[in-house]
Amino acid sequence: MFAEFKALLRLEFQQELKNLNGLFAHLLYLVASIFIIYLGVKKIHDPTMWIALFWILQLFVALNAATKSFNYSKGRDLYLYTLTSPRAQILSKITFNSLYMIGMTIIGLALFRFLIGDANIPFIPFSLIAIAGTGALASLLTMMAAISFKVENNYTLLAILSLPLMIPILVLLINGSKLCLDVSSWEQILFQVLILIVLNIANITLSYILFPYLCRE
Amino acid sequence: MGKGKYFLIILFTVLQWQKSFADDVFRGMHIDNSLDAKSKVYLVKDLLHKTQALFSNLDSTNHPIISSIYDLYIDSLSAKSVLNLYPSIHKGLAEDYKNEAFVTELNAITGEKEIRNFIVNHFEIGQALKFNQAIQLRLIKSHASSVEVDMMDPMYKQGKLYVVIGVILTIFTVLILTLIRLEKKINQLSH
Amino acid sequence: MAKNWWKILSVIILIYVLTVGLIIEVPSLDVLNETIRNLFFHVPMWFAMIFIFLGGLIKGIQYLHHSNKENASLEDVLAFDHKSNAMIRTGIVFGFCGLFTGMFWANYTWGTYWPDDDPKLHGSAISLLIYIAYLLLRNSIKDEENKAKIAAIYSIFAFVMMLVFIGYYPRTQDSLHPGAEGNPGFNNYDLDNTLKLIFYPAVLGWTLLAFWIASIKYKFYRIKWEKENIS
Repeated sequence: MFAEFKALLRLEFQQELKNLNGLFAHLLYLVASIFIIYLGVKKIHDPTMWIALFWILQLFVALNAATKSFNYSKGRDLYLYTLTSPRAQILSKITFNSLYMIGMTIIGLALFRFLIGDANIPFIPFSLIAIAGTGALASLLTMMAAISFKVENNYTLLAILSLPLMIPILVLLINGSKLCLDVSSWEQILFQVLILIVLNIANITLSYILFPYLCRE
Repeated sequence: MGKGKYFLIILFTVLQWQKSFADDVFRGMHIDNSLDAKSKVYLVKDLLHKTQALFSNLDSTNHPIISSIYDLYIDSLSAKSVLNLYPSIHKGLAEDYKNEAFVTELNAITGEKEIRNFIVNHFEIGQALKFNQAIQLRLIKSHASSVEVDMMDPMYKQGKLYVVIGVILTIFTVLILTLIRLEKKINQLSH
Repeated sequence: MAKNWWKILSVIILIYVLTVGLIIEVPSLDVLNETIRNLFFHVPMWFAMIFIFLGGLIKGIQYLHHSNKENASLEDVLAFDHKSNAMIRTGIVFGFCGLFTGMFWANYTWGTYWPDDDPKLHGSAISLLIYIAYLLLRNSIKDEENKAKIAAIYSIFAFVMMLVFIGYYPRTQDSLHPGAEGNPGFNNYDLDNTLKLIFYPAVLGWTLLAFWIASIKYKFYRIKWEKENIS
């Protein structure tokens, strides 16, 4: 199964590279939103507002990125997906989506800090929490995308399903980000990162167990 | 050093009616970063004394909100948090000021109260935010303690209580009878 | 009558809780005084909700397991899904009841129906939102087997997220809600013996009532399905 997983993952990357439309569209979305915020406020000094805006932005970028991950309607991939095992499929999709969204988060973070200032938030703790949290979001969104695309390619269903489930993760992320402001609490920050990683592993495990049931028609 | 301002700003927006005290201490708050470490220490100590004076001048027993903030101030600086905060702030301050004299001054502060006050004035903004939330919670709690709910007295016990129980039991009985009727109907339908 | 003993038990226990709970002497703490009696309504309703969501989860898992077997008939397998649906709907109602009893209590103790920025209240509200999304999910799928499969999978995620948000998250924050220091249930109230005497039966009583209501709903869904599909 590991060989299938590697092959599928390589396929995902190749597909992405062949048709860079999707990647550029998301980057455009990210850059345009950050630029609009920049035009509005120039620089944000208040860390709570910085954190809130950053995570709203990342939430919607992640949601957008998830909608394009299960497009079976293309047809050419359908045959391939009936050959490989569903577990390898879901693991490869989760891995690809996590890497993709983490990339988006890093680019977003760099642009935000460059244009809108860093509001005295220390870089390393915040980026640790951001990466762990985006991983958790990505695994949850991939599974919800899998569910909603089995049900007639329904984009609104993805939003309905995933937004309530994402709120706990976002709350943990926002609290973790606020903790970063307090540089003397490294253990607490690392504990939050650990919790987010545990949540990520829980989501991946549940997806791994449940995706085959979803696939059986 | 400007970060120490946040604590006092939050505190004083709440105590708006004590404007005269607030004005006095605000005037003393401007700390110039070009001062050397020793002068900074003296300025900080001066601020500390003024903050202490603020609390000891207020009649904390009569104002519920002020007494709750005062409690919170003391609570937040309990011995455990002093021990936790002190090493990291000690290190941060020593690096920040890079001055042996300052560190010696810091070590020379005797008495728990002075340490506490010193740490309060050097809160990082993250701790100031937590402090703000804690103040909000305490305000709500102190409001609550002024809204008292009486215990039942014998008169009430004899009269009204049984009426209330009667009403509740009636509603409950109606609910249960509805459930039983639904069950019977459904059992009929399925046979 | 033999298989309905638990329904009769729940009625008896609830009558006991409703009468004795309001009459008995309760210890008095500041501010709380008589409002401690809410402990017999608010907390047991949340417990009932958690137990019944757990029941819904188990039926969902059973559906997924049995739907793979070759010799299972559609009727028997879909029964699990109908049970899960009934339980989760009842759980949502109990959740709202718990929320409203909590809000009325909050008005007496804290002066406001919904204090700002309280993590436990956020947790409970968002958990209800997650399960309402479950209802929307069920409504948007037409095919029954698909509906059952996807609803079962979603209910597993929903339960895990609910546990994180009600169980773990309030313990990490300061909160007005009692029990924030350790067990987010009832730490502050020195649960003394008279209270325990009513509280534990109350949990049992409300839980059994919830399961009774869910069983009636299930039978109703079942009959509706049979009429549509078998006739």
